[in-house]
Amino acid sequence: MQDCVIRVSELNKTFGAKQVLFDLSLDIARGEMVALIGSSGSGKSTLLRHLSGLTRADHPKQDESGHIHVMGDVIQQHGRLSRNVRRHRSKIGYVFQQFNLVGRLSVMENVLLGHLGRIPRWRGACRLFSESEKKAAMTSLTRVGMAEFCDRRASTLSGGQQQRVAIARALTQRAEVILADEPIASLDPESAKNVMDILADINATDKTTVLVSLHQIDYAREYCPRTVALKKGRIHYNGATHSLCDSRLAQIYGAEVAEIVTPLHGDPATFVRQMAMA
Amino acid sequence: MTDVLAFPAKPASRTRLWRDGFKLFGWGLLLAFLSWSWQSAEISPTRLISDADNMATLVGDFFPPDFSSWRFYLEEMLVTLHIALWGTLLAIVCAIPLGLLSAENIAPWWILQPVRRVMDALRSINEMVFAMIFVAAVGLGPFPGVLALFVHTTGVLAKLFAEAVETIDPGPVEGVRATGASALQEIIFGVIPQVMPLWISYSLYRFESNVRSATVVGMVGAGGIGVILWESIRGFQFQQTCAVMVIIIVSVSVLDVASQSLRKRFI
Repeated sequence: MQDCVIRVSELNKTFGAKQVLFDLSLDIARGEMVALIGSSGSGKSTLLRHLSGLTRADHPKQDESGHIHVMGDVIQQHGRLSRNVRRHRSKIGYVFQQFNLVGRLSVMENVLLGHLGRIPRWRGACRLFSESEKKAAMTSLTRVGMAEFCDRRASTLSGGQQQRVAIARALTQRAEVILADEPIASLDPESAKNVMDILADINATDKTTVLVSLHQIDYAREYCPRTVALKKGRIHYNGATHSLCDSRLAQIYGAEVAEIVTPLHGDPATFVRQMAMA
Repeated sequence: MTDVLAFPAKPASRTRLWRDGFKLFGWGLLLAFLSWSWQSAEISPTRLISDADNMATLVGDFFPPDFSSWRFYLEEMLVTLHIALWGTLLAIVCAIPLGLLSAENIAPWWILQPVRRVMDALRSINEMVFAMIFVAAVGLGPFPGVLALFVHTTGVLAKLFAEAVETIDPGPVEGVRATGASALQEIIFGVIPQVMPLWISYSLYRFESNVRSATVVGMVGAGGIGVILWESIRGFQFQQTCAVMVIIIVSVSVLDVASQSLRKRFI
């Protein structure tokens, strides 16, 4: 499949004695915007971290499992990271729940870091960025509406602003895939909407593939045509978001559904009961 | 009914008895150890009283201080500061890579353990000992003093730098890693900015303490004001000794205050 930009096959992950991902396989095509939903501890973050080689999979018993390909590059297989994983990562933009900007560097410097994977190593290490690279960083910042903050220290920004800078960093990478690990979980509703709008715009305009993990289904319904639902390390639903109605979610998640669906009114307990009956 | 209640009480009181016994034994051990070291160190407060006249005469010999060759003293004090400055500077340059290599979250154990042991060795040997060795190796003068401070301070700063690195937030480092950065770039952009304030503070603190150390390395021939201090004491020129001490006290205090106010800016 030519158009498959993310391919995961039979991924298993165990932390200590606790297995968190079970034989997980997943394909995502170019240009898709996919939501990854699930309650906390369902393995969303762990899956995303594997895709960028930030976490290594279990070493499998049989050789044919635990492959992860992104953009045709092997990121890891058989529990080993690819030799070139550092270069491959430059094609993958990663947006973290806690933003992970370098607080004592300026906004501009943080965004310039996006070039590191593409330019010669010595030049990056000496902080020698060319004029055109600085211009590209500025363009990314303008796009997320943070250009006026370029000289500020990253640590002085609000959460929503930091997340926009983090997205600008991924844009500067010219990433063809953006993995966003609960990008809005630490944000207020207005910033959350703003961040999701930016991600959706990048997906629509640049045809960048976006895989975004979300704690709640509402944003998935608004922004993502396709949803993958994880529960306890296994995929329980993988398909169109519109066919994933509340009652289907209740079937999948049981009592945990309260975490995923925001009830419009009434108390959560009543809601769970209603959903279970539906 | 009473039997049932008494039953659990009995073992409880027995364990308490054991615990008290242990405590008493521990205190006894500590007292025995303290009295042994008292004898070993030949501490005798009575001598302070019986020799009081002697000491009063000695203190009297120090006054008034003789500042007649103050220009020379100041020149040597300046040399002392230069020794401290270069000893610290060279140590900082070496402690950066060595500190990173002895941090648990950066280096693998097979690098970390040998580097740490070498740093422990450098730290455990006093500057004075190094000074004597370097005087024998490169001859008298300020240079062996610089080397002595450099070697000892490298051991100290590498440990302090490593401890700072071990307390960083891994998030930003991962953020840098996710852009496709190399391992070295992760350190330059993810680690160094986080530890910079602490590193600067530790370096300034070590500079302060090296100024104090530089005043004594001269006693073994490693240059600076220590040489004059030692000569004047040996020549029973106590009034000159007093003048030198006053100069040391004043310059060390001034530098401490200056460096502290500089340090506050970085924290």
